[in-house]
Amino acid sequence: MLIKKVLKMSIISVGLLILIGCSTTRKGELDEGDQSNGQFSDSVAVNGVGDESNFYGDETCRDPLKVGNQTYYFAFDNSTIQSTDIASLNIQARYLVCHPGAKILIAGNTDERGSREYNIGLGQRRALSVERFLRSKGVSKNQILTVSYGAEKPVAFGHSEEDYAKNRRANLQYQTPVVTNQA
Amino acid sequence: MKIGLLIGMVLINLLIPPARAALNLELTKGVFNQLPIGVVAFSKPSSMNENSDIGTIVKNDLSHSGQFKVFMPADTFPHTPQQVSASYWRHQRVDDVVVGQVQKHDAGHDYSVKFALINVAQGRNQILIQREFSTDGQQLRRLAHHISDLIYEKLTGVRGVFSTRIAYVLVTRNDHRCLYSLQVADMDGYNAKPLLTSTQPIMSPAWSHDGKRIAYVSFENKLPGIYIETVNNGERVLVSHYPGINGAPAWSPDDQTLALALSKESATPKIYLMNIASKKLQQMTYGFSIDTEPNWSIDGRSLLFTSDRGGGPQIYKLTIRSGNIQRLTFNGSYNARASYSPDGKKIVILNREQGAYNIAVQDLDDENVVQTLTHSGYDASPSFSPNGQMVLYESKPERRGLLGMVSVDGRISLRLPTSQGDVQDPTWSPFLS
Repeated sequence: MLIKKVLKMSIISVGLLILIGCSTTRKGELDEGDQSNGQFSDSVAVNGVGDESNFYGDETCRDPLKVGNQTYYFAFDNSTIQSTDIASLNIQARYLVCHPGAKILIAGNTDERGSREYNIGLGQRRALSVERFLRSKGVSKNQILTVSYGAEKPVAFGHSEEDYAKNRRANLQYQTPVVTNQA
Repeated sequence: MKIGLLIGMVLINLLIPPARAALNLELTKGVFNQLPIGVVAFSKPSSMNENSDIGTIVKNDLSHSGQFKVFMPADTFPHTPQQVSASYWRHQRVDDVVVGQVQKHDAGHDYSVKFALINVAQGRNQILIQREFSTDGQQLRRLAHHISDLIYEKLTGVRGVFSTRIAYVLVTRNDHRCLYSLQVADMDGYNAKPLLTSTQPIMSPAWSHDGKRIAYVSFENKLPGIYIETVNNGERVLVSHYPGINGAPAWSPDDQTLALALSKESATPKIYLMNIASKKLQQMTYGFSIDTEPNWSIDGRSLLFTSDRGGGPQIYKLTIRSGNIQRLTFNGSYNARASYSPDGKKIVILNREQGAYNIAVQDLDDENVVQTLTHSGYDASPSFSPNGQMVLYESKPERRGLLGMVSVDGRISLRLPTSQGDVQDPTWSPFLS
């Protein structure tokens, strides 16, 4: 506990200095700016502080808001992650890096069209696409399990483009309880 | 996590056939010039179950083939060849007549069944087939199908498939609970029995060539594994549960080897061969494409498989000994799930043309001519009947999945909807002894 107190004091002092040179971040947001703060302050133990009211050991491991089960959608015959999903993926990645014991299952799915076993292959591409992204952010291979359900687990059952779009997805599911408060 | 969930429950064969068919076989299109045939109701003891009425089963079998126009008179006479009136039938423009009798033996439950197929074209009664059988009450439907086979083969020259079976996956959804069931039924939709019921998906059932076992993919352990289950007693073995994809099992002609799709440590599935006894694996394809859905040639020397190595999924042929791979399909941008006809001269495939997914047959001899057999645009999973005459497939033209059968020339079609849920991923059994 004493170490923590000392750490907190050094953060405040160092952080104040860094704050001058870096963009401010509002409470509750983790964006690209946080990463550059981290890089700036690599000579001290932890990163700058963006939030005055919460004093945690490491800003990147702060209160994990928006961490939880996620669904990411894909275009037809495609396994590229959509740019609108990157922010959410970064949040999950950050949580997983901070909690090396946390585990997720990524399930890839396709719409109903076409041959079932070929769709298993396509679903796998989607699941692996999400895995690859998370690993590029430092998540360990041991924390991620992937599975493909192909077209076998639809959530929409009609033949419209909307139904198809709802099924072309990767579901990211936490297999360990999500920690919502830092000890 | 698994407590309270029904995951893999292997149910024992039911001894008593259900009163209704699990799938309701309906002929939707028959040939124009059907062969007229008379089927007279067999005489039988009054105590007999309606469901086992042999005359009715034979009538339905022959009608459903699409090749016969069956006349079933209101009368229940004649029952023996001698009683048949040639002039009566010729007046009806019917040249072939089936008659029969069912009698109860005095001792116990056995029945004696006699039937005859008579031709009256020459103005007199010419007996084409005359047989007598002894059977018990549980086997009457099966005997009726055997009689249909005998009649069919005599009159068309082609072996009948009325005694064959189909395996398929039935999916029922209540609220948010989903139940998957691998079922085996007679090819007319009766006698459906579950081999596996699970809350997780089941896929790709494949009959062994001796008709005794079925291999399939089950997600009951959250990740896919391939099981081999013995049909008559439900015993099963998990034969493949490598990391990643375990899929598309296919039996070699001698039932010693399973071809399958495994991704293992790779990103995409590749084709492997597994010796079933030793479980030893041999990798057959390499690279970054999706390779899956292997199916054996009749001589066991090559495999068809689906691969997107050329951009989109197409059918390739792999010669096992040399490893040589040759592309077979060039019609359209999507061809998948190919299998050979029993004579090896054709392949049936899932083909996409302008967004419509239909079943097509490609003639390997005749300059690879392709004929599209179905037209709903929402079809998949084709397989040949063991006599090469019909193709069984799944279809979802609206919201409910059903099965379809179509003749190889496209002229005859049938549908098999189920009253509850979706039916999918069907496969036709081999001839069963």
